[in-house]
Amino acid sequence: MIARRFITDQLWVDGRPATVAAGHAEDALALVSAATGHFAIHLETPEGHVLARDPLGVNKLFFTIDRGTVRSANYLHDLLDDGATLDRVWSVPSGHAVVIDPDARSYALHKHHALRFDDSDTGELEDDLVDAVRARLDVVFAGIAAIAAGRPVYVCMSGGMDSTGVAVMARRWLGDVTAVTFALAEEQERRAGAGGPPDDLATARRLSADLGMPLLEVVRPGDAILATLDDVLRFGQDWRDFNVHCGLVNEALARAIAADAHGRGDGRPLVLTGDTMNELMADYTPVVYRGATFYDLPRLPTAKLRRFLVGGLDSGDREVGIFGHHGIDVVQPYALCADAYAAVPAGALGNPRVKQALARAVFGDAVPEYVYARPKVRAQAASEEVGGTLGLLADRGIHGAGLAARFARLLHVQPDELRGFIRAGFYRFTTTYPGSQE
Amino acid sequence: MPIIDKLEAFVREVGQVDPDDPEFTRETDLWDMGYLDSNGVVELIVFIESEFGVEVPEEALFDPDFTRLSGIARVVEDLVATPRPV
Repeated sequence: MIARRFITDQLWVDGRPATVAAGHAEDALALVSAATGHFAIHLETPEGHVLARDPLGVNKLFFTIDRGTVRSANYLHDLLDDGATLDRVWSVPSGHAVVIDPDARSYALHKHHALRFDDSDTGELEDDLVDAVRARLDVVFAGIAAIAAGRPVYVCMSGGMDSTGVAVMARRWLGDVTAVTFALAEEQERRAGAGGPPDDLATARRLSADLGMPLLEVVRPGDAILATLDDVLRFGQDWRDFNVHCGLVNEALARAIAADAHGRGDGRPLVLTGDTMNELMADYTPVVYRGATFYDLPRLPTAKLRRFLVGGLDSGDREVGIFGHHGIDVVQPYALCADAYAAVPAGALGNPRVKQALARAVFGDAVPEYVYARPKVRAQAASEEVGGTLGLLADRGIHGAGLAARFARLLHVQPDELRGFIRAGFYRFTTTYPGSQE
Repeated sequence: MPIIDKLEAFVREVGQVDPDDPEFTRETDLWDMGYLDSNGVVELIVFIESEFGVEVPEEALFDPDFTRLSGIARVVEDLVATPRPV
């Protein structure tokens, strides 16, 4: 067994951090079936290798089998650097475990978690659902408090509703937390000339002051952001526009956090983000920028889309992978509450106000009214005029197939080899013994 | 209408396939030939589930059969014959 692991596992049972002890395969399978969190584990047991991934696939896990040796890694490029070829690399799908015995050439895929979405047509948010979300958030933040003690903790703050909800909870449960926000320097300069800072930055400043949190402002020029693109592709493990645009923002945040935390001499920094909420509430739409449409979605009703958006978290590493290569751990509290949010009825998802209604019910006036009143914020597409990191790349013609080709070049594979490596949001996986390279 | 006919009609519509396209057959690899992408397969899955009353498992995504109309029809026939417990 050779495991190249750089990402910290956050594996929780009954709301508390748990450790995976060596044992039998069935013990490992029982543990992951009872666990929540962000994890990607590889254990050697008498029955074979057990590889397992968290319910939403937040942490990534790739493997290959080479002359009877099972190699795994969080980062795809590590397996390729070790000599594997892309066509012999598989992912463990989210919410699944695999048991591999290379000597017997046996392979079994086990599904240990399946989110149960409420597919009913009702448009109402029942009190029970709100109570369940609130209770789940409390359990999750109690767990985060347990792993955050003594470490520098940051919360990504875009000024939007989702990240503000996390910031409110972090302030309540963790106390000493630093907010961190991103802006493109060009946009800040342009807005300064127009009489004020960018809306996102202004809101983050106001919010951090209101919540009593110091704010780390990460304002970077476009050229500096562009210079990180190869790192974003490599560690973000994706070439698709949306995840690359998000990854560029996170790469800037990660560098700033790593530098900020360095002087503190504490443990590994911990970052909390509002990611995953958009998937859980199917809150995505294509974006038109200068006449071109980005982030195309399947043509489905919102209620049908949710399952595939959440499933699509299996691929792309725009947060954990990006922060991880700077030695920073990430927790996505909403991902840890996925069961509770999955109970939002499908019939409610078509209502554009439902997300806000749920946030109001859950957080109340702990989230300031000016946050609820803001239009949707996406850090990677800050405004139609400047376009955030989306515009940064799109204006230079860097998108779509061009990003795929660049990703392929970085991984020393042919662009054609990427075809079929991600399908419907899942990294390629196998249901049968994948063979070896001998 | 047989399952494969329904699937073909749907894929032709989603993939905007020219009726005279000689490359498009029931044995064509829909991914390799660009008739199906990730968004298209999601739409196809929802169509299958609603049209045939089955649940398409994630495993189908990388099933070699699930790349050609003939194979997709086989997968659907199997699902119809042996529905998975919900």
